[in-house]
Amino acid sequence: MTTTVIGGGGFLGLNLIDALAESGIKPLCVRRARGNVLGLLSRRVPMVVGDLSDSNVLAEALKGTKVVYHLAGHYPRTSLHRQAALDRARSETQVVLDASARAGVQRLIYVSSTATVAPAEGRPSTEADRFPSPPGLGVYHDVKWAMEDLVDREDRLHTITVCPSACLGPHDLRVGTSGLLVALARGMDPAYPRGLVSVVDVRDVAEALVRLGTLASFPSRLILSAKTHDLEALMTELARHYGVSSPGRALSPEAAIRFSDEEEERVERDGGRAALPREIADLIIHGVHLDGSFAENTLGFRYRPLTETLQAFGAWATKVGLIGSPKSHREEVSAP
Amino acid sequence: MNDPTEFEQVLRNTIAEFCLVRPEALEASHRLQDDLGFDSITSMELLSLLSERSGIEVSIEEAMQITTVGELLALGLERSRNARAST
Repeated sequence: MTTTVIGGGGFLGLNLIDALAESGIKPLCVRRARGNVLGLLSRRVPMVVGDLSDSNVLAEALKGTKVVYHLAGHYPRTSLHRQAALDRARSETQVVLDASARAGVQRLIYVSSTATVAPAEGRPSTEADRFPSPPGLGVYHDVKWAMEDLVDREDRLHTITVCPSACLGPHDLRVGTSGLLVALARGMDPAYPRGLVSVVDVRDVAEALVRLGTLASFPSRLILSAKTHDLEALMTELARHYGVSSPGRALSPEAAIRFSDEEEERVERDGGRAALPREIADLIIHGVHLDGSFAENTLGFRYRPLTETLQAFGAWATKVGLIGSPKSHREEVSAP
Repeated sequence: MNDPTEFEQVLRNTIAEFCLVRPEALEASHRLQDDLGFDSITSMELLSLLSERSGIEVSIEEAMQITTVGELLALGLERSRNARAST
């Protein structure tokens, strides 16, 4: 076994497993003792229980592995507990790095976020634009920065940091980045902030990851993003795509943050799900124009157009009952 | 696992692990989310663990449609019967 995926049972993970299989690679998956592995079971993926709090156990699981995909970087479910989120993020990342080094892993491909990409003056941001210190734009941004910082400092093995923008596509079981899309397609009027959102097809991210695992020479940091959109304009186009009423106007940044904080406190108190999670608000409010072309040029692929992504997501979401069939697909969203 | 009674016991015990309810107190009409406190994530984790423990295959698509203990039990029993019929 030469390829191992940590966090293969989730949205990106299942797409990566499928992309690896298409390339003839059958990886081992490190999984938590309790978690949703239905997608891995149905794909007959070999699994081993690993623990991101114990580098000895993880090192044992990684024995014989040359390439590790780390997709399980901490994602704080709320932004209410800053220090706990940062502590867990740093600790788990260090365990993965230590275990990989001890197991003799040659290449660690770590999936980060575009939250770590700094704005650039007068041009779209590229791989060179990185916050020199924690961005201070919200808990999620700082958590992602802290983990990426640890990976960047690693000198015992080769590391590649991948920064995908908002992933859309099939198998988004937790309805993470596609939450706004699902709410809109259901004819609801979701609250969303004014700002920018960059999107990428999750299958493009998966294919890029496969290539990064096999290329002889590779970059140390890579942005994966097809296009940056003004969210309010995109929501209007998506409403047309799904044949539903146009959504209301975007919230001001101040109103969006106030609303998302209230929502997270409500969820902490009563359970359920935040209508607008704080990290989503932060990502959009502080969104920057991204240039994802370096990945295309380096890895030799082209991002799928948004229409293709929406069709794939729509087919999957309809199949699992997340949304009904679109009333009309005749009006296509303009391709990037 | 192709014994329906055994499956039902595994189902009751597995649900009880998640929501601290006595296995024998579970009723078919109990809704996973509204009555037993599961959310969409823990519901999937329950289905996943149950699938591993019982050997009964549940697709993600099927898992996302299940809302009550009774529906889960019916799916498991159907799979158990099919497994028995094919052996």
